[in-house]
Amino acid sequence: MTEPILSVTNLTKRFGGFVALDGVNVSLGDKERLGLIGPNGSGKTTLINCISGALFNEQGKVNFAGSDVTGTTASRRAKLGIIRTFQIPRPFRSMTIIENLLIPMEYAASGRMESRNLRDQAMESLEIVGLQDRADENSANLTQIDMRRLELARALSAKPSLLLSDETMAGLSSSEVDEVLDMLFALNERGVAVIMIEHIMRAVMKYSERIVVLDAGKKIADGSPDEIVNNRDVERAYLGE
Amino acid sequence: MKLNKFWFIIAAVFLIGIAFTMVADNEFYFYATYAVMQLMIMGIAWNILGGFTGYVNFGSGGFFAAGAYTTVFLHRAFDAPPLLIAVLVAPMVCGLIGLGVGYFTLRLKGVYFAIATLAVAIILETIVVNWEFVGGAGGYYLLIPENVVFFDSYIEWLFVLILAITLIAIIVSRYLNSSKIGQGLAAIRDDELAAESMGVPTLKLKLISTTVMGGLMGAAGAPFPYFITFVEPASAFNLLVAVMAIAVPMIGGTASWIGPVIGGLLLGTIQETVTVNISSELNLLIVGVVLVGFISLAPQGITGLYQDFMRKRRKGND
Amino acid sequence: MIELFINAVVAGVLLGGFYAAVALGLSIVFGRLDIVNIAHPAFVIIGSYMAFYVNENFGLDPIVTSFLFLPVFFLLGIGMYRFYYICFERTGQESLSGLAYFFGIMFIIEVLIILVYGVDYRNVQAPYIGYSLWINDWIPLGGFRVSLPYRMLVPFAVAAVVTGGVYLYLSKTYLGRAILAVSQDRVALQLMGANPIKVKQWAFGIAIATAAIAGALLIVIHPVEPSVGRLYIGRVFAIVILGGMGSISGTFFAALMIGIAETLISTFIGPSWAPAAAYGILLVTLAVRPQGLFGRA
Repeated sequence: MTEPILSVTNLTKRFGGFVALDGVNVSLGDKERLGLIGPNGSGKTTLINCISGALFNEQGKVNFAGSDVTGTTASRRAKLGIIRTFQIPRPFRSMTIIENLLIPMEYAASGRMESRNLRDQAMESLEIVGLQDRADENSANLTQIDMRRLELARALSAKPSLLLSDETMAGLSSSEVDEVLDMLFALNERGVAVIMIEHIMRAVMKYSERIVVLDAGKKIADGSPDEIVNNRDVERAYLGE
Repeated sequence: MKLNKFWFIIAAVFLIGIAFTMVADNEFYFYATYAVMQLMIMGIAWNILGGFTGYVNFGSGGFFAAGAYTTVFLHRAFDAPPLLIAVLVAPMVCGLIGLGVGYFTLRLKGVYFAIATLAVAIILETIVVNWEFVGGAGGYYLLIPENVVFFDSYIEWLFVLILAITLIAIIVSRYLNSSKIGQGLAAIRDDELAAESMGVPTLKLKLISTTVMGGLMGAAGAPFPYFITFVEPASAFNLLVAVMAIAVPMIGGTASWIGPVIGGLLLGTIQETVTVNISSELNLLIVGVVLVGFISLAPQGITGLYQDFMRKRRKGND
Repeated sequence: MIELFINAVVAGVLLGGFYAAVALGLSIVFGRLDIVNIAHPAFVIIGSYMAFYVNENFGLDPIVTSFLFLPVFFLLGIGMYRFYYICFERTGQESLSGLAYFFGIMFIIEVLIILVYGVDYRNVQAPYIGYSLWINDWIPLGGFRVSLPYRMLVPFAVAAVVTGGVYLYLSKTYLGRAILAVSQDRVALQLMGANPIKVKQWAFGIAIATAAIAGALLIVIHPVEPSVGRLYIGRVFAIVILGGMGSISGTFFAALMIGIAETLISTFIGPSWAPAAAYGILLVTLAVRPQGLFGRA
């Protein structure tokens, strides 16, 4: 296997006395699509937060693209190419849709941008998610699905090499789920590794090349979708004994 | 406003200001416009941290007073050096204080940050009250030099000085607003967590913001002792300074450098007319009521109202 | 020296109890409802002046007066919250503008008081002011003389009772528990049939009502003038944050700590440094343990 783009070793995160993540090991290959599942409260978002830098882990290391990013700020990691989307979209409300994309282009992707006009490059990202006709609308009053689109377009504009997608499809209708799935496939085709947290099983099964399962802060399974489906521990975690 | 037009206006205003000093003979105008411009600088300074970055702070008065007391300190320690020196030193001192304060308080969320800044201002005041060298609680008297190079009287020099500082503040503010830094600050204001995850180095930008605010406030405060000739902690650290610094941009508009200029003009004029013609307490009441009124009903300030008005007109024309 | 120390600590405890009464309203509003009413001390000062007015013109005891005025302040609190809700909470503007709003309110209150009463100090007359209880008359203290001035002892007692009352109210009554609930889970509260807005309104009313009592206690302890409120901003926020957001008992203990810190600094370093004590403690708390001593994490 080629050098993994991300390797999380022995990661432990505590909140006071509560151990949210306990010695978790995950690695991700370049351009791999990884699904991250587990019952509520198992630590999935916490893991994403520790990888992206929104939280700092007490123990363990996070290695990205060959360098140790443990303890570095989230903006630093974004500059390196780790980009995350939020469960509840967080647009920059005072800006228009296209202005939202300028921020990651000027900051996270500042070393990776082409020298063409920024607005043109932003429009390309908008086209992938289907928001190109509304580029100059204010971003504050969008529908749920449009906010998810903006969130994805913004992540795209940051030119990530690793995308952490946190329940992007939660609460969407079946056809909307398919739309988002297509966008995530398109993203992966452009060379972006993706870790997807979702509760919508058919999306996870369809999208993931490999699935990692967390339960109560520990990794209990790591394998192909078929292996996971047939794994007794996973079944027990979700359904109880 | 296009760049060339902007610089032209800046230069023109400065030259008109100087011309004014040669022509006008009633000193009252200089005193009045000094006060108005001081308000503008304070508003612009506050707005950089409060409006652009979204970090409301109540301690800006502390930086203003720190600037004033830097001048006092230099006056006492170096036997009345030229004011220009103080005006160059004070922003650096206050900028450093701003950096230090920011470093310790910016990790706090909005509300806690605001209260922490108030705490810092009070602590600064307490230090000054107990510092006999700069006059302590009793205050410090300054004698205005008899002769001034180039101008007829000292107040004319003060006027030109504060005019220059105001123009510099506008230039700095405009630069911050329209540059990549300004967009980063706006992102922080809108959603700091999202900004950080999109690569915006939030702590670094916030520190730049507090440093600039501290520096500009210090610059506003540096000539103040010469303007007022008697400095005491009670008036230098007066809450009114902090209120004015907030009121000016909140009334004028927080989105760009123009807001505080408009707000300063408006509030300054109200202040001068009411204080002179009615009473200074009533003037304070009016300021307070207007501030609360704008905050509650028109939080985007006058520039916001103007933009709404223009947008409606454009919609009407379509 | 030791006698000085003991008296300072005792005075600090009494002062701290009073501070608790002042901070109580903010503990409810900031600790439970997340509303940063930086103007709370200004309402306390209104209470002081109201007590002064009645005391000067009718001779009534200030603390009794404040209890009579409770309904007025309660309604004032409801009104304040209503306006705040319409302008800020409803539109989601809380953080930036709400803060500045209360700052403006505080300023307006101070100016109004100056307009009506001027900047001179005002105080009240009451039979117990000026007398002290000497503990060593009752308990042998080995030669040390420890005094409890009545003008501080009475406010301490009233403050303790009021704090206890509010604590019991919040934990035992339906509305009280609704107030605790609304801070934790608005939606759940709605599902249980209580209107969160009405609950918050009620809480704000209670908070401002406590300000009336605190104001009377204040003017019993020492003379007031309009800008006194400003000294209390740092104190009350330090107390609420140190005690832990939303914990009434935490507020009381934090208030005692700050009271003792202030009197010790005042006695051994100098009274002009005392105002900075609370602010300094506030900054340290924010830096080291922002959830306070007893707060929910």
